[in-house]
Amino acid sequence: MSIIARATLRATASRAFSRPAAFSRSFAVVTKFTTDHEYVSNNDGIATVGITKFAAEALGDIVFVELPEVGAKLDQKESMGVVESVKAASDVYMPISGEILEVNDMLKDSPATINESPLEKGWMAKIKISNPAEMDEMMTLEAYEKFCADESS
Amino acid sequence: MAPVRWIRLRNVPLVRQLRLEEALFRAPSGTWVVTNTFGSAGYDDAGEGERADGAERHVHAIAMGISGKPELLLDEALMRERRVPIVRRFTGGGTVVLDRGTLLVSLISGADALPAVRPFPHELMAWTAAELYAPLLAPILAPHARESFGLVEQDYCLGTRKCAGNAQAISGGRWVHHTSFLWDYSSEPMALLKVPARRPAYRGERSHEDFLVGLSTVLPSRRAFWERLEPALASAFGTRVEQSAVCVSATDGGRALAALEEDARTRAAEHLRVKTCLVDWPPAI
Repeated sequence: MSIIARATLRATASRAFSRPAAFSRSFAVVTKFTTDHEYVSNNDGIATVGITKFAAEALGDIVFVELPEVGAKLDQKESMGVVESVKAASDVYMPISGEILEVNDMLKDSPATINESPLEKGWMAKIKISNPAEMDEMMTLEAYEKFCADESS
Repeated sequence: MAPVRWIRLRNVPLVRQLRLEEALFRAPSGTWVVTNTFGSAGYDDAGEGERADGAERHVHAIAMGISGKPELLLDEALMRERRVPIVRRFTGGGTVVLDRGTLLVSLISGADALPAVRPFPHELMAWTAAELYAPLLAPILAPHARESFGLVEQDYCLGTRKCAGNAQAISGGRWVHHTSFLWDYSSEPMALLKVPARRPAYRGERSHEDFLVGLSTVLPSRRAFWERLEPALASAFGTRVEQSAVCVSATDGGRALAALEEDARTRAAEHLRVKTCLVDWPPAI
């Protein structure tokens, strides 16, 4: 994984989010990773999900993205979409169970955004998490980095 | 170790072939190779490669990738005239004209069979080129073949001329890898295709004629290709190959093919999804 990719992952995974003043608590955004190279950034029960920089680089130039229907309730590991790189159509799984609240429509016209900014502009869906405990089984940033290093060796 | 099961098809409609593959892809495990050709048995089994240069060929179908847009890829006037079926694959990749000069080889496998091959596009291409197709072709390449087989960017080439296209679908640890080998290139059916906007750098500005090469120019026969496939598969996958009888939908009433399809759907069970479809284009005037 490149230095830039590590920096991006760290910046996203460690970013804190503070609610407006009406709320006294602040919520840390917790980002975790799956062995299928998806990420989940949980912000107070709403997850932003997509594929990681590692996956985007391994897939190559992404030319088409199929996104889930807003309102769909999907279980963890169900297919939520497809990303097509030049030669391959690859399934993207729900990293966590929940309801699709929003999809990133920008990807339909600019699928390469996933290559350029997978954890920021290239997110795929926002999900209302139905089973937060599923995140307990996912990898932290450090564990995911080691997982990727092992896969690459 | 489980065997590689080789399903041999001939003249089976592409849409049925792809749906069969899609079901096997959704099966939780197992390795299959599905091959298909179009044309007479005599042509496929002939000791010498038959040529059809110059004559208009029957185009069996045109296959597009999962996101292909016919209006951008195909010549509308010619398609309207020739009424060629268009099939949208469940895999990525580009557009292929399928006629009797095309040899289709699809590999369906996964991490259970090949744990060392990570299910990412370039790695699948590199593995198939180095471990399967190069060993398959090397012993039967004609002495006059000056250029060896290999992967150039994302294409299979003899030297720097493309001799086969490929496309893939990947789901978790499972994958499908399609290869469409060009047996004898004819420029005539290629007129159905527009020059794609996205072209590999190594192609440069070359026309189809300068960019493509058929295997018939360097192999003794199609039979030699098929005979080499079985030992090459056994070596690449490190297991034995079980070969089905040739399944020809037009002559066996479709029973053998229907049985294969039912078996594949049963294996896929609740994971079955069908993205392969016929595309109705161009629209009626």
